Amino acid sequence: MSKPRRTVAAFSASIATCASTATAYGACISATMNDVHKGVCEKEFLAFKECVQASMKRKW
Amino acid sequence: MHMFKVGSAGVPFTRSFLTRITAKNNSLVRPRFYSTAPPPPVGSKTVPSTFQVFDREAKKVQKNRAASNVKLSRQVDYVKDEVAFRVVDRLLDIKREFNEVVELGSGSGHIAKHVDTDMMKKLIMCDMSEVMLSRDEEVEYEVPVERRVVDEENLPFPENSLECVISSLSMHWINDLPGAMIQIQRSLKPDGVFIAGLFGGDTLFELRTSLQLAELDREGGISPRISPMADSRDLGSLLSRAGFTLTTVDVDEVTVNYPSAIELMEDLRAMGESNAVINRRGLLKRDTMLAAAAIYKEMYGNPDGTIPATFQILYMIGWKPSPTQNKPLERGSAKHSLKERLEGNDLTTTTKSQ
Repeated sequence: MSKPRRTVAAFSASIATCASTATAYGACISATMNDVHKGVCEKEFLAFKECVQASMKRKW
Repeated sequence: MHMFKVGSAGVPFTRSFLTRITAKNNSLVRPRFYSTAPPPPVGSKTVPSTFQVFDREAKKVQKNRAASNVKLSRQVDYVKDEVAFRVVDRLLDIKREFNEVVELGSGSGHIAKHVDTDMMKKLIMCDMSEVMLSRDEEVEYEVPVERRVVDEENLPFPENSLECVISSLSMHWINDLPGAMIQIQRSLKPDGVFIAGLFGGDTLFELRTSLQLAELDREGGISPRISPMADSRDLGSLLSRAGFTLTTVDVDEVTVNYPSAIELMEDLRAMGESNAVINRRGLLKRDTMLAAAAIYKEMYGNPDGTIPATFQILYMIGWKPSPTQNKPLERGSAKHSLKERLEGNDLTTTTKSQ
């Protein structure tokens, strides 16, 4: 049972490592709060996702 | 409020079919209309379909699974322990020694940790999940406990048999809350008391918003991720509708800080509190989860980098009516003017007359 917990920890740690791109994405969403639709912050999200993937050394 | 359809699943009745049914079962053709549906008869397994919000079977599986990892499950007892303590605190206000207290949705015994022999001789722990119920079987409590597997929606207790029913953080998974409260009221003896703490509508509002925004941006739509929960305004009328008197409702909040939304969701799962809404999507995409974590932190995050999660707790107390209870005085029987008292004009005379 401890393995999934470790994956979660790694996932969370990678998100923390990518704080700056995460903040940029979060800020983009809060700025468009009233008009969020599919892919509204695509660019910011991709930057964030790439950073997390690089940090986890995994792709999905 | 609720619509009842005669032909279930929208199948239109042909005339001959209709007459056949009329002969067989009159109630199908002339349905009884209620403003809200009546409680199910005692012992029956059916809940009116309009009240089916939660998948109770899935909830049982989630609780069993959560409790089977004993170490992790004990690690996430913090919210339930804290709220159980606050519920017991309300029981402590009642200066009465109970012989038996029934606890509905006991989990692995959060109330049992806080009660003592001055309050009750015995605690009957009831929960739908056998694994969760027996997780701490070897732990000794001050009060002797009995464990029973009970579905909170179908109480097995006879009418007028219980002195006190207590419940902490379990009733938010009951489909038919009015019906369940009527069953509790029925099973209480006259002058018996019901005390409960359950999650209110503001619970996890941060996570609800973050997941909705993340799903909107990533997938273009939202799905039910966080349960609908009771509102404090509704509880008073629910209690009176179930036939309780001397009712009290109050609201309280517990805020817990987490490193990120990922740990929050992981802990909720370990508590057995995962999503069990009937039309839930079984899957949370990794991208959506990433997005939600970022949005959560940006919108609600603390300056130190952690994120707060709000648990709103609604407490309610109700008594089964009994002739021995204090009644309000008759109208117009007051001897002092409240208006003068509040304005402070009559202070000297009131103290004299007392």
